[in-house]
Amino acid sequence: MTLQDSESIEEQLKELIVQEFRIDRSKISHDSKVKELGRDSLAVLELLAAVEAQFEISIPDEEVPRISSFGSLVDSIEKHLKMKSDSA
Amino acid sequence: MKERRVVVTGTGLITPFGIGSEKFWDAISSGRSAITRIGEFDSSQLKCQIAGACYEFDPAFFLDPDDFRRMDRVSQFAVAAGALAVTESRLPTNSHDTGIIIGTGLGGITTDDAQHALLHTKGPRFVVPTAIPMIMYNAAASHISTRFGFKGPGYTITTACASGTQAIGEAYRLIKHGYADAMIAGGADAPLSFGIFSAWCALRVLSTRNDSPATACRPFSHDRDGMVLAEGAGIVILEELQHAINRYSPLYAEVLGYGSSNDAFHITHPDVDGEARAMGNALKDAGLPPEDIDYINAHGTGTKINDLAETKAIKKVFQKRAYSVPISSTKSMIGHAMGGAGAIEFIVCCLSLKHDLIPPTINYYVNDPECDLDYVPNVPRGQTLNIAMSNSFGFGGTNAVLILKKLICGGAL
Repeated sequence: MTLQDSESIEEQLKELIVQEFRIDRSKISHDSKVKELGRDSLAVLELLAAVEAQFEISIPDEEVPRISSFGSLVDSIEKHLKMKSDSA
Repeated sequence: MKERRVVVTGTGLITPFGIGSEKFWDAISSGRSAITRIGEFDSSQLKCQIAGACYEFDPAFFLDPDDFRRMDRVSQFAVAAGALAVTESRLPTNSHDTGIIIGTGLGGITTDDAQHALLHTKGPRFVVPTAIPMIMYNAAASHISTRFGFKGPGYTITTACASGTQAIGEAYRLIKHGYADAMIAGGADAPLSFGIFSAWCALRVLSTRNDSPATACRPFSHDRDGMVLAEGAGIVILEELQHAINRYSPLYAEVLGYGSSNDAFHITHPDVDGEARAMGNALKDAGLPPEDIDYINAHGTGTKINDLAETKAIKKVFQKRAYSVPISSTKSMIGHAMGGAGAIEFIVCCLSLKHDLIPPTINYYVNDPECDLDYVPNVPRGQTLNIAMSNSFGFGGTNAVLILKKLICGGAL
């Protein structure tokens, strides 16, 4: 995957959340809490697994507690995509 | 404490014949087979290519998609059968006095199989976060109790083919001895995965009559060549008699006795003494002589070894009565649903008592000089039934036997 801008990542992530959580796209904003978008803590883990598969990145366990909002998840994806691109 | 009596007030079935007990009874009481070619996966490389599969089952009929996609097929079966049983019994939900015991031989094995395939073909990060809660053996009990709010004692029993029978037997004991007023209990298994099927084939105990699925399973017949795997669930509601009467619940049968034993003999080979002791223990618990048993629903898998051992065990316990008591194997029609089998067969006994009709052992073609009892061959038999026995003998050497009595509503209890 080539380096993507934030907007493209946001759009892809929104699509993933809509599919994973079966919720209306309009409910997702930059400040949305990931836990509140899904039904429970397992749903968050399911979303992270889907994110890792789609973006072909690996989010370390210690980073997970810091991913609370939609925006912070976008930041995390962006960071790991950049790390992957730098090391390529 | 006054002896507490335990009755069956609800039944739920998911079987290869479909959803619920009505279609199931209609089929087995007329001697039909539910065995077909396997459609779940490509079985062309396997020696056995037939099974009793629940093709009519649609989890969406019972569960929200967000719920069932997080459940292995075994939990979907158990929750669906549980919902049928709760509905039938009208048992109040959200109760601290209702407990749960579910038996399963293999738990979430289909998920286990699928996740292993992902692991080895794509890599560890493709294993889903819900794999553990889907695979674990107590998932089915957790989903049922969460759905209905049953907060009494709860556990999961895994003793191979005896799992469902032991679950009902242990639930009966909890009520009898005052630990709960009502229990939801039974068994479920969904073992029709490529991996498990291959493993059973390797054990060389499955019938290979692939060209004739409906006549493949031939318990007690001299030409039997093995068992047929199946999937499904049987769940019942057990209640203390007065508890059931107080809420005007339907009454199916009374559980009179439960016996269990351990062979301490061999991991797969049955033991006549162990099986006989389980039947003897059940009769002792019920306070009955063998002569009082009107019908035995046999374990009757259709393997050479099982059917001979069970015949010998019945002779050992029943003596002369062994030659006149009707014995049938309903596995001849639906196959062997593993941990679900004993619970399904317990419900067969409930229905047999209710209808005064013994379902046959179908595909019985050739007399076996060593299996020389009355196996109710091929044709259902109508006769007055008061007391029935259900046998389950599991790999690992666990044997479990239940005895049920007809309850006549409006009559003396």
